[in-house]
Formats: sequence, C-alpha cells, structure tokens
Amino acid sequence: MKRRPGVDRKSEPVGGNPTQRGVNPFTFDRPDRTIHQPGVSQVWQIVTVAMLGLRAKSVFVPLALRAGIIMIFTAAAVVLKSIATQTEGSSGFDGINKTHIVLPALLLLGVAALASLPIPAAVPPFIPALAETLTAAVIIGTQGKSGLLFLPYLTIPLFLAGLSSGLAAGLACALLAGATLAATVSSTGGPAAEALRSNDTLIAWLFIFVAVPTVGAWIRRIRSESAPDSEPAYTDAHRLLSELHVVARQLSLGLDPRTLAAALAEDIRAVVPQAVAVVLTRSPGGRFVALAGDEPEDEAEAAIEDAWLSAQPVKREGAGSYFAAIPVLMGERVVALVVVTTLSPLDETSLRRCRAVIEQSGPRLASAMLFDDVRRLATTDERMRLAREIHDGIAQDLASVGYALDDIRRDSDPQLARKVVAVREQLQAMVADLRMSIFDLRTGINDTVGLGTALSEHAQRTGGQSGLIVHASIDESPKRLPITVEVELLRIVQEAITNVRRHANAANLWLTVTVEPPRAHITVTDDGLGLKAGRPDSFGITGMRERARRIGAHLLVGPGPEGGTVVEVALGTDAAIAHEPRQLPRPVVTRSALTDPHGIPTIVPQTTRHGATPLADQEVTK
Amino acid sequence: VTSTTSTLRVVLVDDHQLIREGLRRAFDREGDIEVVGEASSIAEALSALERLKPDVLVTDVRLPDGDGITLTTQVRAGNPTMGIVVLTMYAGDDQVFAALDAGASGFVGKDAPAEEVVAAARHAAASPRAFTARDLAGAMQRRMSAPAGPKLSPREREVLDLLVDGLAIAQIARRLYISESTAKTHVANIYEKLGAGNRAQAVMAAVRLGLVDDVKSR
Repeated sequence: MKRRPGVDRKSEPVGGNPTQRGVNPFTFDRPDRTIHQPGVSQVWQIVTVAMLGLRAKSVFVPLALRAGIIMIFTAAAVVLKSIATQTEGSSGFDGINKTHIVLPALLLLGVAALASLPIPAAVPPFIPALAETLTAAVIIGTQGKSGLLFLPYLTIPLFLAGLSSGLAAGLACALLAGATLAATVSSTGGPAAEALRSNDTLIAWLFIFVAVPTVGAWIRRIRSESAPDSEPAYTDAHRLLSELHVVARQLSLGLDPRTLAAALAEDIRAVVPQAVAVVLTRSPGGRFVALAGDEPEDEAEAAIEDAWLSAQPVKREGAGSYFAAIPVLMGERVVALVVVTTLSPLDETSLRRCRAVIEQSGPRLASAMLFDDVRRLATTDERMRLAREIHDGIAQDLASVGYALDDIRRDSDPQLARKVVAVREQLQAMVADLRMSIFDLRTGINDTVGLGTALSEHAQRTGGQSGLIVHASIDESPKRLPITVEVELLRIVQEAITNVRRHANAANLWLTVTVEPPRAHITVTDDGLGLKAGRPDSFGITGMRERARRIGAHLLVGPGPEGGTVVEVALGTDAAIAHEPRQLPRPVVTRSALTDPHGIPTIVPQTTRHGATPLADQEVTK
Repeated sequence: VTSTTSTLRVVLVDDHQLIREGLRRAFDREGDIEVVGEASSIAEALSALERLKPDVLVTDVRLPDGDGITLTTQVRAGNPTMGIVVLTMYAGDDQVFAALDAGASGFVGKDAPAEEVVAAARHAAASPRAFTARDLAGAMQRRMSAPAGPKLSPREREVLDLLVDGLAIAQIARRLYISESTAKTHVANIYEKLGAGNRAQAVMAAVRLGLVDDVKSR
C-alpha cells in the first residue's frame, strides 16, 4: 500500500466528508485523517503525530523493502548460479547467466520506485497495487527463466492489495497476475515456460498467489477491528445518539431519569428488603435533589456530600438509622447517588449487592440524565429562536399595520374612524398577545431563579398586563426539583395562564404553588367562563398533558369553584390523592392583600368542593 | 442643544422600516414635530445623534448591533436633557425597569397606538428625567409585592434565630439535633440567600429584612 506523506493531506478539503469516508472500503490508512478533525482527543492527536513522523520516513520504506527483496534474489541467483556451475549438478540454472539476472532486477527496481511514489487520496489503493502486480508480472514473464527468479517480488503488491482493499481485490489481483504471467511466459516460450509448467512449481506459486493476498486481507480485518476509528469521538457520539434516538422513539419514557431512578430504587429494595432507597442527583445550584424517593434525613447529608466528592460508598450512622451513600458512576464521574437507609448497619454483602445493582444501571441512568439535559438545552434554544422569529417578523409587521391604521383613522370621517378604531383595537390585542407569547418563550428557569419565583413573576406580569387580578400563594422549599422538571411545570402553568388570559374572560386568577421536593403541587384557578366544548385551547391542554406525563405528574382540568376552571398539577403525590380531589389543598389565598394591585379585598374561593361538584371531570395520569 | 424654533426634533431608531415609516407619519401629522433622522442600528443612531442633536430619541430595544437600553444608557451619560423614549415589542416588567434604570424618559409598547408614542415623545422633551410608562404603577406594585426578599426554609429560620442569638455552629447543631456539617450547610445557605459574607452581615441583613424579631430579649 502506498503511503502518502502527511504534507500531501493538507490539500484535502479540511473536514472533507466524514460520512462518505466512513463507508469507503479503501480507507485503511485512517488515523492521519484525524489531524484535520477538530474535537478529537489530545492523546489521539499525539499518537497521530507520532505515526505521521514514522510515515514521513516511511515514504522510503516501501521502496527499501522492494529493493531489498530484489537485491536478495539477485544476489541469491548469482550465488546459486556460481554454485550450480561449479557443482555441474542440477540444471535449474541452465540458460541463465549473470547479466540476464541484472536486467529484470533493474526493471523491477524501476517498478518498485514508481510504486513507492505517493498517490493522490482520490485513487483507491488497490489500483496502484494492481498496476504494480501486472507490470511486475509482465517483466517477470517476458524475461524468461531469469525473470522467474523474481516471482517472489509479486507477493509484495499482492499482499498490499489484500491489505488495502480486502480479500476480493487481492484475489482479483492474484488472478490477473497469474493470467498475465501465464500469457507472457507461454508467448515467449522457451525454458521459462517449461520451468513453470513443472507441476510442483505451478502449484506452489498458485498457492502462494492465493495465500499472500488472503493473509493481507486477514491482517487488514484484524487491524480495522482493533484500530481506533478515524474520528473516535464522533463515531462514538453518533453510535450513542443513534441508540438514544431509537430508544427515545420506541419508548417515550424509556430514557426518563425519574422512571429509571425509581426502577433503580426498586432494584435496591429487592436486594436489601428492609431498606429505603433514594436516588439523588446534584442540581446546578449544588443542591442534592431526589430523582426517586423522598429526600433523605438531614443526618445523611454529610454522607451524601462525602460520597459525592470521594466517588466511594460512604456509610454513616444516624439517630436510629444507618445510611449508605453509594455513588452512581459513569466512568470516573459521579452522576447520582443512591442513599440506602436501614435500621441496622448495612453489611458488606448487602453493600456489594447494592453496588452491583448500581453498577449495572449506572450508565443507563447517566445517559437518561444527559439526554434530558440535551433535550432541555435544545428546547430552550428552539424557544429562543421562536421568540426572535416572532419578535422580528410577524409582531413588527402587525405593529406597523397598527401605525398605518392610526394614520388612516386620522384621515377618516367619524363613521369610518369608528370602524377603524374597532379594527385597531383588535390589532392592538393581537400585538399584545404576541408580546406575551414572546415573553413566555423567553421566560425560563435557571440556576438562581427557582420554580416558585419564576411562576409567581410570570403570573404577576401576565396577569397585570392583561387585566387579570392575580392572587399568588407560593410555598417553596429551598430545595429544588430537578431543573428539567421545573421547566416542564413552568410551561404547564404558563399554558394554563395563557388559556385563562385568552379564553376564560376571567377577572381573577388564583395560583397556588407548593414545592417540597420531590413533590410539587400547583393549581391555577380562574373565575371565568369555564370549560366549554370546543373551546379553542384544547390543543394547549393536550400539550400540558404531554408535559405532565413526561415528568410523571398528574394533570387535572376541571370546573372551578367560581364557575371558572381549575388546572391542577400534582407531582410525586400519591396517585390516590390525585384521584381524590376533595383531599387536595384548597387554593388558599394567603398573599392576596399583597398581590392585588388594586388593593381590593379579593374573593377567596370557597371550599365548596365538598359539595356536589367534583373538582375534576377530566383527569390524566401517567 | 435646543432648537431655535418651537418644533420638536426627533430621531427614530428601529431596524424595521415599516415601523419607522408609520411613526414618521404620526409625528409629521403633529405639525410641530419633525423627524430629522432615522437609524436602523446603534452605530447609525450614534452618528445621527452626534450630527443632528435632536430633542428626542425614540429607540427600539432589540437592534441588530446591540440593544436600545444600552444605547439609552450611553446617550444619557453624555446628555442629561435629551428626551429618550424606549419602544419595544418585549413584554415584562424587567424591560420597564431596565429602561427606567438606563435613564429613559418614557417606555411604550409596540402594541400601543402611534399617538401614544407621540405623547411619550412630547413628555420626554418636556421632562426628560421624569419616567413615564403605561402600567408603571402596576409594575412597581408587582415589584414591591413579588417575593423579592430571600425565602428561608423553616429549618433555616431556626438556624438564623440561633445565629442571631450568637450561638456557635456546634451549639446550633446540638440545639437542633443535626450534625455539624448540616448546620454548616444551613448557615452557608442562609449567607448565600442573604448575600452575607459573615455572621455580622447575615444578622444585619436579617434584621433589615424583618426576618428576625430584632427586639427579642436577649
């Protein structure tokens, strides 16, 4: 196979077309391509540079190899010839004199020199190998008996053909070489033809011609299996993403960290029956949040912190209970912790079993968490893009139409002006609505702004700007829910408030938020028109349900106590409670006096739900 | 620089031509207001302001090379008397307060009729340092009533009370039957929430925010 020096590669388009290269069967010498690929690990670059260094020298290696073989056979032939003439025994060297040996040797050296030249990347490597094979075969075939001395030379291009292009190409080369040889030898006739015709020689060479490319192809296969791929990072990422894609498509919850965490906790309980297992992860704010199970006792905090930092299981004794914090590792990195709480100290066997369970499901949980994060980032990106698009496009266009209408109105007679005003008002409402949509799209959750704050601010602003009186009651623990859960809850409430704003024609909106990780309970109540068949927000409700399902929350939409609508989201509470609306906390307005911008005493929804009206007429569970 | 005549000289900054056209028509109708220049970017705006020295600047918030709030800050720094009206498609109280903080004279949403922009421009020319915005009162109210202060958990309130009482971490831990490291975490969280660097600052902040009863008998 031809080695092209590293400098030649610079002429290739940087980045090239990796996919195409990936499927190209002639990409044996892959590693040096990585030098053009950004993002490949440092170590790999160092290896590549080292190999390139070797290769710069190795422009001459193929030539030296070939020349060496030619020289050896030339020398051997000369020596054997002298011995043969001295001993007058065997006649194998009859008809060969020393000068006859030199000519094919020189011709083959020329071929070797040509074959050692660098070839352009676009040429499939078997083409030069084939050309070399055929040229060498012609030379050997036409040089009579002395040419046949150099038959072993053919093994070089044949081996390289097998190595670079696989078994089929190698055997094809061997076949063509054999045919060329046979044709040239028989056409020249003479002793060479006779020598070749002797059965032993023929079979031996046939065998060698087949064996050499086979060995080459075999080595190629081993090397391609063991050799790292051209872009290991990308290849790995692609493989992973493909798997994720399949899983995500097949099971909507297959990559949900909470489901997986719950399953993991369940598995732990199967191993240590009397234990309570909690799966924790660390929120961006540095707090530990429960993915599954209840937050452990404060006493376990030290163990949790230690286990997270040390990436080793940590056992601690608390008041009356024992904690073992076992890290869930992805490689070296701790992605989550399993806290096992028991009444008696966890023995080594149980701990080992727990670790085995965790080791098994660690990568799955880590992947799910990563996927969750990727999805969140992608969604945020997309929302920002949408906001920009609306802001720069339709919203500005409508606003300018509004200004144009203002202009027309000023020129119109009073009768027309009234009509224009009506249209203008509609348009103003539309633009105001778009402004709210942009606001919604841009509102997010981050490390510092938690769910309660974000919800409260959002409700206050949207309410304030659309004439709704908002009564917010927020009870938020300083502990945070996982950020992806917070985002989904925010979006659900945003949608609920948007529906009230757009369709309910309500005067008041009550928002209650209780966040006590891993549980959360939110209600959005209004005193508007209530749900009617065919209300145009059914699409929004579908979206809310999907979001609720994604985080394993219950969503209930039903008639409210004041004739409006109640949207209720319950996360982490018992399904039985969610199904029993009467047991749900009332939307008690604790901060109404503060939040009512008009200072008017607010109507507190009466606890009329004990009566005949059930809270929910529709209900969605996970 | 006040213009010699009684006409109000306005520069419009918005990257949407149709918006500028619509507003220009509205200003032209007034008779005593002249749109002396238009710009579609911060750079253009700065050079137009330098050249034209208008009485009022009407600027959009989102501009291709920056934002109108920054422009407002920049202009206000060099010119305390120019009227500046911030015009935006963005909703949210943050935008109103950002305009206020930047030193704008008025804030108008792009859904509002053109007359409102004209009125804001007139106001801006008359009293450039008196901020006006629709629903400003509401926004203020919301800002006041929003859970602005730090929210401490019940446990943190307990820890804070003991901190104010002057107890050491170890004593707090013993008193609350928690480990010392847990108490430390709580204290760290309290400091973080109150923006305090040490116990004294935390106590000060807590008293200022009314989180502790400062007349408690010690």
